[in-house]
Amino acid sequence: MIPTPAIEINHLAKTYRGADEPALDGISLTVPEGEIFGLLGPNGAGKTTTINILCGILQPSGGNIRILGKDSIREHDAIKHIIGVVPQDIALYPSLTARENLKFIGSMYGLSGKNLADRVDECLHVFGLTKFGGRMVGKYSGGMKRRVNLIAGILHQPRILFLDEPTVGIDVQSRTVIIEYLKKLNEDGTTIIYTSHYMEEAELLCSSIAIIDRGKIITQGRPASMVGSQPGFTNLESIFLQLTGRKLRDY
Amino acid sequence: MKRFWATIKKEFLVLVRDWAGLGLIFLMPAVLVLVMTLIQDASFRKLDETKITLLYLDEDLDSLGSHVKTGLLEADYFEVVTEVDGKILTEKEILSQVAAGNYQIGIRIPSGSTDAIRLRGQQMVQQTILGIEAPPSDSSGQARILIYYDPAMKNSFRLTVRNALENFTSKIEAGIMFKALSDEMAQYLPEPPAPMTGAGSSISYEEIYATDTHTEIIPNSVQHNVPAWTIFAMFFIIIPLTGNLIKERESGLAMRLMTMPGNQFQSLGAKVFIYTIVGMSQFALMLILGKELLPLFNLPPLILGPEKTALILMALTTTLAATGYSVLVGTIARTHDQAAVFGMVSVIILAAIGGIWVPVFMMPNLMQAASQVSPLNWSLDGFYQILLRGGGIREVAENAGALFLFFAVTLTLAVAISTKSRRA
Repeated sequence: MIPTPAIEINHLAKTYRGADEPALDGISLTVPEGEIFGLLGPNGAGKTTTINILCGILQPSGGNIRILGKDSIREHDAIKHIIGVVPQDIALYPSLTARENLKFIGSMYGLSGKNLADRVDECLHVFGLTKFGGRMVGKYSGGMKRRVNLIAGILHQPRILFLDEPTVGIDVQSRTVIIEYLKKLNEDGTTIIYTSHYMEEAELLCSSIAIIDRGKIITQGRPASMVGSQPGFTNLESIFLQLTGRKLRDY
Repeated sequence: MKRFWATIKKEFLVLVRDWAGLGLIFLMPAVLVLVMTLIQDASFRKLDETKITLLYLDEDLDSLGSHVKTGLLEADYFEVVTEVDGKILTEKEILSQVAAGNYQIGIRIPSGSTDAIRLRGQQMVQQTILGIEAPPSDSSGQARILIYYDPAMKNSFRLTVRNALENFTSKIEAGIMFKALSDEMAQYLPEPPAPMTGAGSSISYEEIYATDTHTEIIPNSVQHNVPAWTIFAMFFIIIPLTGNLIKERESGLAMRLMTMPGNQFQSLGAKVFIYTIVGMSQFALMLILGKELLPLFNLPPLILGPEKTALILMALTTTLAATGYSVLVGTIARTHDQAAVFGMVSVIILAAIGGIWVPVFMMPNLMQAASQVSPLNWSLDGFYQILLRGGGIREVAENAGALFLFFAVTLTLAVAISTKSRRA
């Protein structure tokens, strides 16, 4: 029996109202369960649009998505329980403490009472924030905020975790803690869909990647097999630059 | 349901930690109600409850001049000033003092004014008894009272003073005239008549506030201003509430909420719930302020009347309308600035056309028609029904219904716009 893929994207299209070009131009992808899948691309390539559609934040203009076999539009409510999202922004209430933020988010996923409190404590401990759990998030450093932002996405132990640039603008220590934790989470069975501008990080973390540009998948595969497959493909960054060009991408 | 309560708890924590927002919600309305009630109190009081300081120059030095002065002094509502800085007033001094705005009114009785009234009395008798035509009079032969006004004085106030003076001086004029007639007629009658005196007025006025119900409520500045400015303040939750919505959107929290179990109605419902409690608390605070604090400032206490349920209904539907409108503005606005400026200006406009500042009946026809579209007007009219006309639930049902409908429409529109933006 063929296992159900974690994510199955078929001819996904998205054109924003008033835009001349489609943000996504019929992309198709399959991500098996248990992968750490990197969706890479220059600015405006369509990474965040893809993640937002996968998470149900945006509605596609065409195509369809199945997440663990469930239709992303018709079964969106059921999907919400099995996915976790770590957005690029620090999506936390700055006037609430980390513990209050996490307790609120945990409650939304049906956690309550001692289970919720224990899970919050456990996560704060893993990310070295136990001492600061009672401090307002607005008073945290950038790295601490990123760590709480990540905890908010994994608190309910989702089967699929979407991460949109989870390590952007943080110190090396925080980045290391996050990367190590993501690896462990994946070892425990969580499928991770990840976007980043850090090619080295993606190469280190991802079991497979897709490079997206101008709304289309231009290549996909395992980083190890891609590196060295063609002349000049010495690492992921060189592959990326050869495929997407050196022209600045302002949009 | 657990999610709903968790969202309510979160909204509560966000609200209570927003000190600026809390100040805007509770402190600003309290100050507004107090200041506006105190300012507008004078215009609601009868003239004899206030003191108008005026400069008085008697050049007549006869009956009219002295009677007017005595009358002004006896009347409780004028404070008569005849000297400034120890100097006796002159016509020039009156003019300069009033023009400088040091005094709002100056009165001058020119010399010969009493003689002019007497002469007029004599002429009337001669015309009646001897058929002697009075010579054509010009204005120089008339008794005159000159009133100098500060140009900055409001027209309505000027008319009030003028009417009071006219009413008051006509009695003095009648007295002098009767005396002159009496003296003149004595010359033509064989037996001198009993001295004529000005008869008392044969008409008395009784003021009755028209209501269908027996009520202890007396219309005054407190009964008018407390509900008016409370409604205005309730709509000012637009600032913290739109700020809350836009912060959620800008920080990515709105997106995170969309990815979590629960729906938009639950999330908005929690905001509506919290801000409804805020609105009701504002209302309760204003009632306490009206009943307990305003009397400390020499203002009459707010009288709630017997229809407490109707009051709660109006407060509830008003706060719901304010919440629905705020959610809609917060959904449409893209930035904090847009929401703050549009929110504040739109509430001020709705308040202005709704009769919060100037009663609707005093507005031109066009604005009276425009007032019908303002939810603040529906609310104010409802509160006036209860607090001024002694009305109950039946009398305010239409107003409360309109406010609830406004809430339902604005909230539905906000959800529709938000959903549409996901499809954009």
